[in-house]
Amino acid sequence: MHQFLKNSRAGVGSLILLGILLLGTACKKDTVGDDSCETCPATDLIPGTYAPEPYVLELADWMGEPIIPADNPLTKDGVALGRMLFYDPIVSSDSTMSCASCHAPDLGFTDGTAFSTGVEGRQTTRSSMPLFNLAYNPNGFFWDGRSPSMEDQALHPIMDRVELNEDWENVVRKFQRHPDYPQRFRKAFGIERTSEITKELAVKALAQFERTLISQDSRFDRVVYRNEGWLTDSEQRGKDLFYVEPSLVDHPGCSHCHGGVNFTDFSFRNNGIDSVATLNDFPDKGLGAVTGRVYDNGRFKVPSLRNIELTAPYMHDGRFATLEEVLDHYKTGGHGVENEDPNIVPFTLTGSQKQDLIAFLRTLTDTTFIKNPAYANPFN
Amino acid sequence: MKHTPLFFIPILLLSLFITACDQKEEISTGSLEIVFKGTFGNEPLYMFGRSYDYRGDAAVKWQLFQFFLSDLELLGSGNAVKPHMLSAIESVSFGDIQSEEEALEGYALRFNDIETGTYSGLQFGLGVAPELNATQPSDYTPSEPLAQVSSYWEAASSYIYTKIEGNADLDNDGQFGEDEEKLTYHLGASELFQKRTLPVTIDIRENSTTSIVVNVDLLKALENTAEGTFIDFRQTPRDHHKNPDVYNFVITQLRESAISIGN
Repeated sequence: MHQFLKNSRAGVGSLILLGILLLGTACKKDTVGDDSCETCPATDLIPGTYAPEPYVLELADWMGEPIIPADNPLTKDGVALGRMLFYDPIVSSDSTMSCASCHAPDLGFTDGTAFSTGVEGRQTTRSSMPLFNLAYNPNGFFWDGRSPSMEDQALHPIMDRVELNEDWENVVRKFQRHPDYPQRFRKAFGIERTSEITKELAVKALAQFERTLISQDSRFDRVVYRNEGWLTDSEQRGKDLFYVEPSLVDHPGCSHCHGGVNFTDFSFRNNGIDSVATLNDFPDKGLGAVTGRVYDNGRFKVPSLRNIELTAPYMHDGRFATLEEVLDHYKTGGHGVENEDPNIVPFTLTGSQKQDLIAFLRTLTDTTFIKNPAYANPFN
Repeated sequence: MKHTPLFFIPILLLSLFITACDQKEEISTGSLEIVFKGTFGNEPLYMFGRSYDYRGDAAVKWQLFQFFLSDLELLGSGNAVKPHMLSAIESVSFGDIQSEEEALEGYALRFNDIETGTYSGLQFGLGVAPELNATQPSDYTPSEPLAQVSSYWEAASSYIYTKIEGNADLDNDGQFGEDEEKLTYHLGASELFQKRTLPVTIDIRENSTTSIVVNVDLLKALENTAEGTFIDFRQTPRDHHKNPDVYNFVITQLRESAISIGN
């Protein structure tokens, strides 16, 4: 009897153990995509190895050193994961939009509209920014500079109610239950359990992918830096106008703000597009809304002119549809607003000079960049 | 057996020699903070919010005042203290100083690991030393001073030694920055590079930070009161190293008169 009881207890124990195992197996199944397991703790071990391989940016000699933060070095798996997250609509509240919805490669990673549209047709108040050569930006992200790093930048669009309108908690949960992402997070960051997937790791991956977006093979690059071919006469005249500095007083002065290999100095400026009575009257305060300094009102990020032909409409609010309109604005010399950049001064620009400048700007189009398969949607 | 002690003597000496070589000479070091305090005449200098009178018939609100310093060095004292190179290049910018409080705090550069001792002065070259001026922004990582593309002339293959920018009110209508009231002086070229020495006693003490103040008077960069000469905003609201009368004057004034040791 005693032995029977012992055997019986052992049997019951075995049954309980079996039940736990079955439950455990069921939970494991749920964590790879079955939403019926709402309460499953996301603590399952992720199989597979962690053997990070550095991702080496192939940079042309003239590009210089990018900024790669020590706590987020580029790895092949990190970049690959970031690319998937960039294109995956799972990050939006209704799974209809991804980062790429407003940042399309063939438009220099913009969306071609003045104001980007978020989930459920919600309208943003700014134009989507081009995404390339961001690894060279030492100085604030977004038009208003509100993010100090690319990792921080990647946090915001998902939470923004008029963009992707999702909570990071939900997004992380989706990643944890996804059939593929846990292993990709493990490969990228060496985590061991699905519960270790966090928004911080997700934005690290996104930032890694975005740092690989390098535009360095425009016709300008080939002609000027590689000595391959020539600019046309019109393009050369435009180039002279773009860079002219010491020899003339009356000149556009484009390179004051758009100099260097990235065609931007990454600064924030009031470029004279708004005529306002006081510094508090800017319809969009830009940097000033972030810093709280009134003299920063109306100052916005100076964008790169690389691929400028592809990134219309122009300015933070897309107010100019064409490059002709942009140049027409600049040649008037702004509106004399107190914090307007003093480099915005009137200059003479004939019709043919305008066409020359635009011809030059079009040499900055980098078709190698926009067609780079490494930047394309991995789900296609 | 009798010769054993003698046998060990060379080994002992060798051991002592090696031990002596292993012991690195302990050098005591300290830190130095150089605080650049901008003024416009007797007034603290800050950007945007403050209107400064200029020669009695104009006013100006500044937006940017910056300059490069090369070969920043502490001068030694006789044989006792050797000179100490602090930095090959630094950028001093008042562009982000937008209030009186920030102006009084100044723009600080900090240098560590300086051998203790009493130094006799500070030496620097105003601008970018010729060997560095032969480089370009893409030669540097974005956070380095010479990576600033807005301080580099592509067309002239030269860094801009100093930038002075602001909006003036030249017709006394209370409006700053109308058409001919935008002031931009972008100046500098290798032939203008010269060194300047500021005699000052600087005590560097072990494990502590010595602070010195360097005053930079923008007004003195624009006018020479002794000779009655000055930059006439109406005549030359901007110069991008085109007019030798302007760039020679400003660079010389900035180097020789505007920068001094403060309290």
